[in-house]
Amino acid sequence: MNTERTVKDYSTKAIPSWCPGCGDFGILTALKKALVEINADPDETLVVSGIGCGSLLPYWINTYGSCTLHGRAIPFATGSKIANHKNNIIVNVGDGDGLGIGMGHFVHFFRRNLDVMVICDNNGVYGLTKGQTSPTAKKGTKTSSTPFGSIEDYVNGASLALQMGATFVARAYSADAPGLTEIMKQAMNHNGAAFVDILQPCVTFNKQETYDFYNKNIDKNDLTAPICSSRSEAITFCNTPQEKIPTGIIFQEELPTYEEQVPQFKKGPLAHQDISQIDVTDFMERRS
Amino acid sequence: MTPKTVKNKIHILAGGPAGTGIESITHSLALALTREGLFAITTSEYQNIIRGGHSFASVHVGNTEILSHQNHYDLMIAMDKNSVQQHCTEIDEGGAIIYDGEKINIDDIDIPETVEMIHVPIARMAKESGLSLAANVVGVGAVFAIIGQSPEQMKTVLETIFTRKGKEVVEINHRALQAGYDYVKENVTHQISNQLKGDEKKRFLMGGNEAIALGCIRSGLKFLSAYPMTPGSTILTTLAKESQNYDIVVVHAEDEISAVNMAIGAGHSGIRAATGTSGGGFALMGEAVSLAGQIEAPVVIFDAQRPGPSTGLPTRTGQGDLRMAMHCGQGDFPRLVIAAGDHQDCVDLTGEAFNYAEKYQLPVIFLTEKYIADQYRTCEFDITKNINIDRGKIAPPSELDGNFMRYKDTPDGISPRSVPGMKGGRYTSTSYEHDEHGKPVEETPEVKVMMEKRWRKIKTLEKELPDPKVFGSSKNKVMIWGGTKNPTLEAQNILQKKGFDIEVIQMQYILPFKTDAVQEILKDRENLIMVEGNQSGQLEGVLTEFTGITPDYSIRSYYGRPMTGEWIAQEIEKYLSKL
Repeated sequence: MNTERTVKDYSTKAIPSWCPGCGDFGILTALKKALVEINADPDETLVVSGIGCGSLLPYWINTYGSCTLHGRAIPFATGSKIANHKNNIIVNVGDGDGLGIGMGHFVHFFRRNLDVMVICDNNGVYGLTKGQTSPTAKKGTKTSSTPFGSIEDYVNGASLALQMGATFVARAYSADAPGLTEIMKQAMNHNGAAFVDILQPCVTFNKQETYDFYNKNIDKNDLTAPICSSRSEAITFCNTPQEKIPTGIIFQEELPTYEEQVPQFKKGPLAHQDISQIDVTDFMERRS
Repeated sequence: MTPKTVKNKIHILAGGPAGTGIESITHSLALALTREGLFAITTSEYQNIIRGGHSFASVHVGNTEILSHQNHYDLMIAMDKNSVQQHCTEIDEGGAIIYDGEKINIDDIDIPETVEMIHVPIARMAKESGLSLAANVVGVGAVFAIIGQSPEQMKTVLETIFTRKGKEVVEINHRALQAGYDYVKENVTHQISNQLKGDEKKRFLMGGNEAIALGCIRSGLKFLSAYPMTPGSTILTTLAKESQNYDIVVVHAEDEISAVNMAIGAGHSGIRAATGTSGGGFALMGEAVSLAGQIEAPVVIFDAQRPGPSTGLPTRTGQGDLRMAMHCGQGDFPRLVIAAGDHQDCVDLTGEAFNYAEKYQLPVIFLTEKYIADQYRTCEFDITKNINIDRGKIAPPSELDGNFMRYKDTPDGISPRSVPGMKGGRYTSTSYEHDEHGKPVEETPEVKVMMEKRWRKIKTLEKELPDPKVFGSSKNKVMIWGGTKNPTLEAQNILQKKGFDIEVIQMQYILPFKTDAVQEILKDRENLIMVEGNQSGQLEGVLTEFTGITPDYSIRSYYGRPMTGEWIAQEIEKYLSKL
């Protein structure tokens, strides 16, 4: 019926409340474009976020949305995907949200290989609480929570997702609109758990990783094929310091998804299964 | 020896180190006697270890429904010396202890003269049958001979248990059973004379958590996410086993925070979803309970209580989580707190829990406790009639125009909902305060509208909830909640024989509190006695908070062991006889 969609179909009238110049604008625009490109039905799309600046995104995209708890977008989205696995589910977390408080869920999520895309707005700070050090900030970062420089080393989200079995892992830059759109499109088309680490300048609180910094230090890779051909190569690649920060599709492989391995889905989405008459005779017989 | 009285109930204890099949003895006995058409319940007391230590389990069987266990017995199977030492004084006059005299030297134990010691060469006979591990089955054979019941039903039970391990294993166990039975018949004159006679009616033997699983399956549960925690774990394992039979997806989550958020995500997206845990796991879920309240997502959370604080007594029973269930989570939001009193409640109230969760779009916290969760009971469930399934207000397609008002302000506080995937039903649910569309708001009038809309659901729900259950009629009122129900009803019977009458009031629905109904029930009281399994009197405080009524006497148990009907009767009698 509605086969030709445009960005307008995913847009709301409300204007995002992000700081002028925030990298999140680029992410919102690219996500809408990617949804147009895969022709996603807004009524069958759910964007689940946690809490943080970037996690306000569901308000400004005209699909189903859920702004959940800080760190808990992934389990919420997991339950939602299992309820109706035909829906296109996108998880939008921040670096503090997804890799700090929510890291326990982040790592286990990729073991399951649900067909869900996780995007991480990675800006190295807790923007919404006024700029404290996030888990992806480099060692030595000085902010109000680490005034003498952070002691802890940083978390590499892409490497972690690969270690845990993510079947699509990419890194993108929020100001590279065509690249980010293409990566999100491929991530959503990928059949399995996809992770996109999005470098995103926080213009208010991060004075190191600025647009200027990224424009000079990003190494854009061709998006027609993954950078690495094996998981181990990809992990090594992510863990090896590079002269410039590589963006692109780091690794992709096809493995059976969670949904494909659960026979309960064969009769269709659980949400559509009739529950009005359930015969428990068999359960009872085994207890008599 | 000749028995003194003829019994219509028999109480049997099995004791030994963990790993010797103590619970298998009581479970298989209970199942065989249920098949015979008798009524049984089991209890188990075990330490938080996998091997060794001291565990004991009991089975109580009768011609009619058994209300309460008791802590003294007619017969015991002692699988080690420690069991004889610890429990010989708990054997009633004319009772007996089955022990293996070739393994256990009882000379240095001070055994009461009224207890008959019955030697059965359990270990040797098990070995001769072909399997040392079948020692407990030899013991079971001996029990059948002593209580004068045919071991035939027990043979069918062994078939049920061991068929998956092969014909040979079944035969070994049959030989072990017969050996124990024959040995007693040939060598022992002692009998526990009784009038136990089954009516051969078909009934079911079910654990409390299995009854919850049954309630979930019948209610159309589609998703369970949980993390193991004793004594809640068997909700997870029972449903995991049944998942492919009933198209339920079961996820063993990475932690309880994940488990509850998954269930909320699933409930929010249109399926019946639940999580099951115990107090420690439930304590981790508070923030998500508040989320479910705020986004108005249906979810059912089962908390099988055990005593705290902290890790507390992992394998024991208690009722210490009521206040947590009522108050966990930030802010004010509607929730429903249900407490099941027995296996029938576990089935029926679970069905109601899912209906209320979806109809009122809120979190339902369902309390049980180890005493119910772990207890096997002969049940007479009627599974032939369909249960009532109420999915609540789902917005009709005509209202889904792409600009849907998910949180519409309504007179009863309940807003019709859409779920992801429904055409034109798009909205954003959010943990932030929001307007009727789900958009975040911070202005006073809009915040007020939404806070009051949600609160109105409590009033609507309170009206719909059934009144507390009342058993008997007396000016001596005894108020209870949870698994204390049946032991208190047993106490009622005991007290009646002694000339004291009591009325038992069971609080199944605790929040919203049925203030008017409770006040009405308590209006003609002369005495109000509270019986609770916690230290602070949690329900007592709730009662006073909502009704202004303070009880006259409080009976509290907070050391992890279940209250018996006899103990409750004794405590009530102490109070009533002083008046």
